Amino acid sequence: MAGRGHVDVSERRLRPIYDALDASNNKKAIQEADKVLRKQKDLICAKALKAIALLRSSRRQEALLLAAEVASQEPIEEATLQALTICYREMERGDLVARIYENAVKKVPQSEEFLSHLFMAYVRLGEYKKQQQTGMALYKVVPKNPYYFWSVMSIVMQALTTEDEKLSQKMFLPLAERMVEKMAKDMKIEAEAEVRLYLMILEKQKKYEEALEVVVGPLGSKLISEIELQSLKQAELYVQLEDWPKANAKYRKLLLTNPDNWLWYIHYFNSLFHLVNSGWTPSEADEGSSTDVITGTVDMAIAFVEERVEDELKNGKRLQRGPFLARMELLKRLTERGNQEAADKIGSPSDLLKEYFGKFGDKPSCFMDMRPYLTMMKLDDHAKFVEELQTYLEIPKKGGELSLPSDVKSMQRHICCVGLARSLGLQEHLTERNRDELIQDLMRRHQHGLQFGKDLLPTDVQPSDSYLLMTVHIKYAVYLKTQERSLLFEMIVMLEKGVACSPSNAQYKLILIKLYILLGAFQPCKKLYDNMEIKHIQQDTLGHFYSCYAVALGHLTSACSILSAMLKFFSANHKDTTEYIIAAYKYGSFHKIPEIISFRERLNLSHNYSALAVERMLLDFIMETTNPEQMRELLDFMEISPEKDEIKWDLLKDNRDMTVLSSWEPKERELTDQQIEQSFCQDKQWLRLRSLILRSLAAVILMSQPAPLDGEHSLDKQDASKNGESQVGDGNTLLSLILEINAHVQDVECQPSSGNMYLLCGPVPTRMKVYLDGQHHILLTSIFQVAVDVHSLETSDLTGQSQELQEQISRNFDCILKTLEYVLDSMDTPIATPCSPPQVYPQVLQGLVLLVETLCLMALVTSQCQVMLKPLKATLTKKKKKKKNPTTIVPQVFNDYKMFVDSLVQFGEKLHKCLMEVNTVITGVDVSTLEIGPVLEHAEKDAISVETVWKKVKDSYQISVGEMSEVLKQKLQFLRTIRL
Amino acid sequence: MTTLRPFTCDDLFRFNRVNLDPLTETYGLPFYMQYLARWPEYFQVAESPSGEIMGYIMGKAEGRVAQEEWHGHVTALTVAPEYRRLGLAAKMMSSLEQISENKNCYFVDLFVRVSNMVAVDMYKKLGYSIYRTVLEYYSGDPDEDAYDMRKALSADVKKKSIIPLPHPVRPEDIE
Repeated sequence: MAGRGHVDVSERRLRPIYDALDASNNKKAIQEADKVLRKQKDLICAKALKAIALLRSSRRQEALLLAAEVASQEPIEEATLQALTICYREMERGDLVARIYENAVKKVPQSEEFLSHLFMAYVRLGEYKKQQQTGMALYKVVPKNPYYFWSVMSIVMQALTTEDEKLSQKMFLPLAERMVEKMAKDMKIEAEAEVRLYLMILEKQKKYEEALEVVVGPLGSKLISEIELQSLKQAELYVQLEDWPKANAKYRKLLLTNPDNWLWYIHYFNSLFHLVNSGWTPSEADEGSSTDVITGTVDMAIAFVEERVEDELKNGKRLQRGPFLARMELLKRLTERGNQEAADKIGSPSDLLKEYFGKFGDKPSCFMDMRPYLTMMKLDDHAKFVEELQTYLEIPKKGGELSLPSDVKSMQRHICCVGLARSLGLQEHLTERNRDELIQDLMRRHQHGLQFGKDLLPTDVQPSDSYLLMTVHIKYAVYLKTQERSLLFEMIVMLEKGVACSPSNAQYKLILIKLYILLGAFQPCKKLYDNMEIKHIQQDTLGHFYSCYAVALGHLTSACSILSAMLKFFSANHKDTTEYIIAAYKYGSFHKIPEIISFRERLNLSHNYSALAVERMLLDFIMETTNPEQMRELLDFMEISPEKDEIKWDLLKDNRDMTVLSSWEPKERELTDQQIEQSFCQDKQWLRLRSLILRSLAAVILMSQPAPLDGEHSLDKQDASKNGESQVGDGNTLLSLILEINAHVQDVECQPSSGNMYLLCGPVPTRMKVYLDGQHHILLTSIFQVAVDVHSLETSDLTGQSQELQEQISRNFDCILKTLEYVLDSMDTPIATPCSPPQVYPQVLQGLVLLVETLCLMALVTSQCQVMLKPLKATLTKKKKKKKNPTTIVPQVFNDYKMFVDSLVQFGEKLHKCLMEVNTVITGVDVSTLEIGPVLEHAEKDAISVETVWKKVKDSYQISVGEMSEVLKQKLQFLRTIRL
Repeated sequence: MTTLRPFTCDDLFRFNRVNLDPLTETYGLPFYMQYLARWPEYFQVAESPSGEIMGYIMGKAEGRVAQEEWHGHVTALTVAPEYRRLGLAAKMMSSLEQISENKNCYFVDLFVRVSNMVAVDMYKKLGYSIYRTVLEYYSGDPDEDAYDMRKALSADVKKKSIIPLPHPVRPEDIE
């Protein structure tokens, strides 16, 4: 090592480089580094810093070479190592970070610092085996417990990630166990984290007996971070061991300390019924010890639960729901087991439910608490049950009619009561008149109830909002049956007024988004979505309400920003979470490590992530490219590989949150897991189609421009490329993609209708149906086929054997043009009917958007055909000149190409005219004649009406049309430039 | 009825009903990850019988022991609108206090918007008192002051930690 003075000098010299980097002035940083290097050639830290500056100036290849030069000197100075680490990390080359520390460790094997850097570098890479070795090396240098257990945890990670279950059970876990055992024997276990890791290892091997010994032994007393952790662990292990008497006693004891813990009741009941099934009877010994009483008969359990209820009632404090719910749960389970005699001892279901309603009816959670137990009642009892609940409402009746409540609690009870009635199916068979009366009553109550929330902050939800929500749910069910669009307007007006009165109600806003989308209007959704401040992980779980519609409804500019914002979240995920895996090692939160890793995986495999990325790339091609070279550049930047499907279809995760909207639907109409699964399958089918189209487009570009461009992409390939394959274009790739598209479409068409309509809280179908009806797959596969054939022409003799190819090209051109005409003709429904009753047809908009998109894609493919045809024509012209034979016939393909481009332009102009007409039609719609049902009346909220809602819809349509026509004009211009 | 259990990463996929509340901030992943990796026991979620997330509490232990500043801190406490008025917040607070007791903390503290009277009153009922006012702690339009509220734990026998400061402080003055 150099002397201190030397270090100071170096430090002083390096300072300006650091400063420039900090100020993001990369150019200056490079200059400063060069300056230093002129003075002091061997100051490699300056080189490492320069590499960072180069990288940040998009000179990746130079940066890589320079960094490699520094690394090859195997530096051990902290500053240099740090700079290299930053450089490699920004390049996402964590493997190289590990390498520099491997070298540093080789030189200074006793360095705790280098070893721990190396350990963390391996954590970033998920190199568990090397982590294990490095952890052990660290422990040998500095015998601190955490290092030892880092190594143990690294073995556990190998066990958890190996696909060979045998290896995991026979080698890794026993090894980890022995390592911890050794420490335990030497009395060297210090921290709770170490004990928890020990338990994890034993449990993974199903060694529950041994784990139990640890928990009840001296090491168990270290389990204190979570409340009752030692007891809980013990109880869990009894369950694992199927030691039902002990599990029963333990959970019973736990419930005595906290009679409100649901999970404990569930375990308690499970253990109880295991005991009952095995014919357990109390023995004297069991009765002896008072603390570990086993209550293994139904009677004992009933008594125990009744005691909890009694105690709760005696308590005098605010009632906890636990004991009351537990009693219903026990009743439900007994009924399900057919033990009517015992069930009768607890009471009748309706009595218990009524009692619960009496006690908790004024809590907003009451409906959700009671719902699972409604099934205990017989069908005939439902009406009577709801009728009887009225006596608990504390709302007087006037002339047989229920008056308005005088306080918020009575109102809350009534809300719950209406919800129960709906859930019990009592609203299913109402006559139209009764239903309208019900709706009017709910609306009246909503409005009246607003007074109870007068003093609330604007950030609070109004207590009477549920009335309005239930009304909307009822109306939506009608809409599903009748498809009457005036209902959409009606619901939107209601909810917009609702938002005006209760600006923090997210339910309102999410439903509004759904309804506006159904009307084909994206613009109003933006404000609603932004207003809810949905961000970060919520973009994955709630994005499905919103994100894909910007593209689908032609709001392309918005789509670009929405998609990139969302993609940013996903792409940061890996880096963000990996840092905290490291933190979990540092703080000994070993049990969180596998959890964080699978979380990272779940985000990475999110269907949303892939879908957003594919849509974003398609959009970029459509919006950003106006010449063939640009397309090639964009493709290089995107790193799409046409040969390789990068999406792991079988592993894709459905991260949509389908539980966010409230629902009061009867059980048979509740959204089922099967429906969610089905909609996810459809989403995947749609994504597959889109991804195939994108890859086909990439294949076309690579086929016509196979030579890689100079630039980062091609250079990157050399540095141990990510794909490992070179991107050579040949027609076979594209051919097989075309076949794949056809097969996929056939698959989809074989399956039952994809146009499912779900309830309000359910998912929304994809655009597949509109797409296939619009023949877009036919248009695109035909143009892709043309590209393949044009490519084949290159290798054949233009005048002779290529005749067949040329004919095929001609046929496909024909097919495309005919299909286009057919598609446009079949979209003869106007987008709206202006006079009374006015109507809009959002599917027309969706169809137009797809048509514009397809036309753009075809223009792009055509331009690549031109790139391939141009040299052919040039050769031909040359030959002609040589032979001086003016009679040579111009091959048909050139003419056909010309005709095709002309027709495509003509068609585009026609489409453009259509879009302009849409504008006129939309502007001419007069909604004043649209009749909608009565909605909330508020002097100050009267500003919201069907007219204001329509204006939003209209504005949104105009944006759609405007953006569509812009991109279409741009592509038509492009088409005009690619004549031969 | 509550199942109080440690918050897991997967709960982030399901906490929307809670987080759509305008006063409940949805943070970037690093923020949650940091708590999960460092203070996993301090991040607890309350789950309903049907498995819905009713609310959660996020906290940490920090401060120097020597200065008797070692304390539990409540970073976030929130309950979905449907599950309010059931005493859930009190339960989660008491669990955090218990965890802090086990760690021999001297006190538990938290910050709350001065305008959020419902919350301030609730914390008072739970034994917290205003220790100091932090000026313009919450950024927004306009910025809003925070109360730093504290409750002494058994390690602070003389309850020194909760003697109110006479003057308000600026956010940069707090650790």
